[in-house]
Amino acid sequence: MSSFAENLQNIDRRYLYLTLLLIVVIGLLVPIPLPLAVGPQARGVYDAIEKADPRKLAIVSTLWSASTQGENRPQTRVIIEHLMRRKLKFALIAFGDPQSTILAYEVADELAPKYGYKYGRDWINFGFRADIAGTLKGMVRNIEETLKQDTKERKPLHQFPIMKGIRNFDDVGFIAEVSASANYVSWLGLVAGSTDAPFCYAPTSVMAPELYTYIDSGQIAGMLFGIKGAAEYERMLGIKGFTTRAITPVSLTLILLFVLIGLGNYGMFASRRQGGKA
Amino acid sequence: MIEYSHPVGIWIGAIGTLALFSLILKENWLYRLFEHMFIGLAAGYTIKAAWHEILKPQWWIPMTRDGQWPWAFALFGGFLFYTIFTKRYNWMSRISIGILLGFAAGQAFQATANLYIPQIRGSFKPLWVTQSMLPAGSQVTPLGQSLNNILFLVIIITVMTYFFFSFEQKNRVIQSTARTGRLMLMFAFGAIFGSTVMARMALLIDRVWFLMHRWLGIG
Repeated sequence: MSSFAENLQNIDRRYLYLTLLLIVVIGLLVPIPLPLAVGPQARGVYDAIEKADPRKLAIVSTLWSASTQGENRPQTRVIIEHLMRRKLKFALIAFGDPQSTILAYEVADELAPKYGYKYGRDWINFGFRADIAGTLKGMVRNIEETLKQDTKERKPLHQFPIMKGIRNFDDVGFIAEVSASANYVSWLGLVAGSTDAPFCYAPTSVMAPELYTYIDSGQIAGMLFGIKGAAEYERMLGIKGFTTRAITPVSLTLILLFVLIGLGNYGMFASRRQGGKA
Repeated sequence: MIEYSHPVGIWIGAIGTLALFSLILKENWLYRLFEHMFIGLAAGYTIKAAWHEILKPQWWIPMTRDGQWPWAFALFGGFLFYTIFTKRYNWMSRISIGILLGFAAGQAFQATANLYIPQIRGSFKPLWVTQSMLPAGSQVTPLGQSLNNILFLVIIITVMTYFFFSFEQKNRVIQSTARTGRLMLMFAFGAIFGSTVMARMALLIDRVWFLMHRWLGIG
């Protein structure tokens, strides 16, 4: 007969998934007011937008798809909402994954009526570009010559009022990349030296740890650390969106994993002591 | 076009989500069906986007409507890549690959310098920080920042020692330094693992919220 310790290592994974699901559902339905401190990384993004020159264009670059929208959609939303609150004109551009362009557009289009933003006057969608390096190198020289037209109305960029006086990255006052990939390498490598605009990054949590060296060196002005960063930003903006609600189940699921890792390790060491299979 | 918020779109999203989650129980035909649908849709959408957003406005229209006929040579350059599949003409593909490599190498050279030189510069930190060195409004005390910087220096030296493979690490000082470096790397990997778990949980929560709120109207 197998011992309790051995059983701990052989729990049917379906029970674990069921427990996880229950915790998520309970966490979403019963929001527990857990403390959430706003970190300096999220504060960096906020300050960069607050200090951005309203005469210049802000660029929100995206590389995410439906598969990471749990983190990247709320990040995109809070950044765009803050830009709109500050009445900054901005452009969307998508690299790598064409789903990005429609998903980010959807977020901006949904928020636009709330802040009286008009397409072409206050914001524009540059659309999807497959080659980030070539596109960025071109935009450093001339944005309009490189991109040619927008992606919604498919008209030449110079026909939009928002593009008046915007020639290259000298006329850009803020850059943010919301991404599920390592696009920051291209932005920092090919654009950083050509503009004074602060560069902020909103990666998925998986990628965030590798970004700290760039924050430390000052190359990245601020970062939204996955869903947690978006929740911190919602707090700074004073809104209660999806991430404010989701941060409770995030914390609960992490606690569950701590417990399960603890139990698994206990089971392994206990069964070793008993001379059983480890 | 059915929009994401349209009831039909929500039902399709819900059925797709449940079908993909069914893998948790066991491998099944429904999961495979929706997996193939997802991959097919993504591939189809990418082709459509590549044509409408890039090729048509930047290549086809200038070539056919604006009289910029030299763009036709781009097609020839692109076709050269496919000669790699023939033994007789595969040397021709090297022309296109060579041009592309040249572009990539030039960009990589610039990108590497821009990426890493600021980091090397940023790694020179004062080990004794005074109040005047801290940015205005900083919540860190000079002592705290000094300790941070000392820790930074210790970690950078120990980790770099671990990756120093030019000679055998026989010296006991170097061995213990490298071992400390490895330990520090473990801390970093732990942080990355924790972040990965958080990311996956966030994606799960998003889907569960979609099913509960958008599909079933709960919450």
